[in-house]
Amino acid sequence: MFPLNDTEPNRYSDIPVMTLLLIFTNALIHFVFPISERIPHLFIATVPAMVFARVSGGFLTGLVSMFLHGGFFHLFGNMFSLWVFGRRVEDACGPWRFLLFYLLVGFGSDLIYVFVNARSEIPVIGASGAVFGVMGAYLILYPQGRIRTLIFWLSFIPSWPRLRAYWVVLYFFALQIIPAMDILLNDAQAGYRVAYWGHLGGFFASVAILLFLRPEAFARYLSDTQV
Amino acid sequence: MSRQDRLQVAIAKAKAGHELSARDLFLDIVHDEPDNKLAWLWLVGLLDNTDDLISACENILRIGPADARVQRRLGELRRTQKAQLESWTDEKLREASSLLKDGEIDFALIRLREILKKVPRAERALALLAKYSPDLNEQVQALKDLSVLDPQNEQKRAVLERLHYFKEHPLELAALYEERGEWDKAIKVFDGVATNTSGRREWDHVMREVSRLEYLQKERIAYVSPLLSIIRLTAGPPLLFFFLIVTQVGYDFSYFTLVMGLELLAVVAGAFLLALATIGGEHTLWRRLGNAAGRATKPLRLLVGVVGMLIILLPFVLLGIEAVQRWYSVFDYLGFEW
Repeated sequence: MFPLNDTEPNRYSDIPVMTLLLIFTNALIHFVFPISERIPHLFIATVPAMVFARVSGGFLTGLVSMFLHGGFFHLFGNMFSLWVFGRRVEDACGPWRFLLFYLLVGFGSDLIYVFVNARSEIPVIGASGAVFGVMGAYLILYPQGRIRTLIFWLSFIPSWPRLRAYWVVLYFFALQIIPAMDILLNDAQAGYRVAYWGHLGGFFASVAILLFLRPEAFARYLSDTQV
Repeated sequence: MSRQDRLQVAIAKAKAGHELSARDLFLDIVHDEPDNKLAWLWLVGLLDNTDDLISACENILRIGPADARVQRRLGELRRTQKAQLESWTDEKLREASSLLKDGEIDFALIRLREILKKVPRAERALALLAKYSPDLNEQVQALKDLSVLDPQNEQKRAVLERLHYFKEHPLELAALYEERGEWDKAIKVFDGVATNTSGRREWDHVMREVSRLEYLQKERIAYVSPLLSIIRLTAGPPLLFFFLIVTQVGYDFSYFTLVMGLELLAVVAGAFLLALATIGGEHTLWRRLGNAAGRATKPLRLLVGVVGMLIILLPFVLLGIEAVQRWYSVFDYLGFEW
């Protein structure tokens, strides 16, 4: 299942300036400043054990991690999802509040990941925590939204129906649950290359979206009408 | 019939108990001969309305000012009239207050205007009219009258200044009504502005606002008070800063310093100013910054917004500097040789 686009229009603004800027910045960092052998992730990205030991760059490592990606497909997946779900979340917040929200869910995701994997010496990178936060916000604001989603039935028959947002977002949420439980109960992070708890952290932090909505969008949310 | 005969007939009718026809005749007589004291004297005995009686007595005293008995009677009548008027005003005010309580503002306003027609200086009626009238001109007039009654009252003068401001800036008044959730009133103000717009652009803007408010009404959008919006928007940046602090202290709050606490407070203060500038509603801060109506004008909002943003950014920068300074510790931690 791969979300392709949000089929519904914006209400307050035409162009999602900050979403585009975040995509551009992430891409720029990935292509212009590629991670080389000389500057390994260990030095610049979040490493849970180092956070607990209060070494390295404190919150700045979290910020740097949020804009680093391990490869083109990692970047593409995150940025495409950010585009699909971020456009209307930004519309409901306004660009600057959306940026703050994006950073907040990014750091929220980092906090949970580091807390659960306290002894891990493996650096964590990627915007996925923040993107999952944006997806969580989308679920809160537009549960009935329609997402054009690419689905391969039996792994090879493609179709692209418009699915309700809650099916798409909850699907991605459900994908995180089993590995996240395995990591939590069996201390098995080493066996996974994905920061599942980071994703869940972003999801949990996404409730903070209510603090960043435009006044009218918040009133609409309270009125149970389309935000 | 001569004038003298007419008077005799009227007196005879009055003596015979035909009071109504006698009164009409006497009224005709005083109409033709306003200085006929005898006719006025007879009328005092025949009239039953206090106001008419006062008028008759005044006419008698105009003709013969020394009449002590009529003077006494006039004094009594004026006292009665005052008492009647006071009791009538109280009753109407009670009615108006009860109508206001029931939300029947239009009917209450009718009562208040009725009172002021008879008693132009009824203070309570003026105060209520100034408060509830949807017509800005009427509000201003009521407040002006109130100020005349009590020229030293600073509060009334401030309210009057505020109303003058709204008279000059009707779009601000519409914004005020919208903030209070009184969308009907806001639409009415916009409609009024639309009829006086100077150009197409302004007209378009006003119409867009009207249609936006009508949609809000149609969709039954809940009213959210500006205070709640300010609190809500203030909470976001400090929460983000708190997350940064948790990372910075490595989840161990024994490393939480006084400076961090002050930085967090600064973020709260900055976020508050930014939220205030965003919402732009009524606040004493705007009054202190020079707006008589306590409204946020565009330049004031920009000023407060920029100040708020700078106050928010400073703690982030300071925390960032601290983070950069300790970044080198990673080399020691990993045993990396320089």
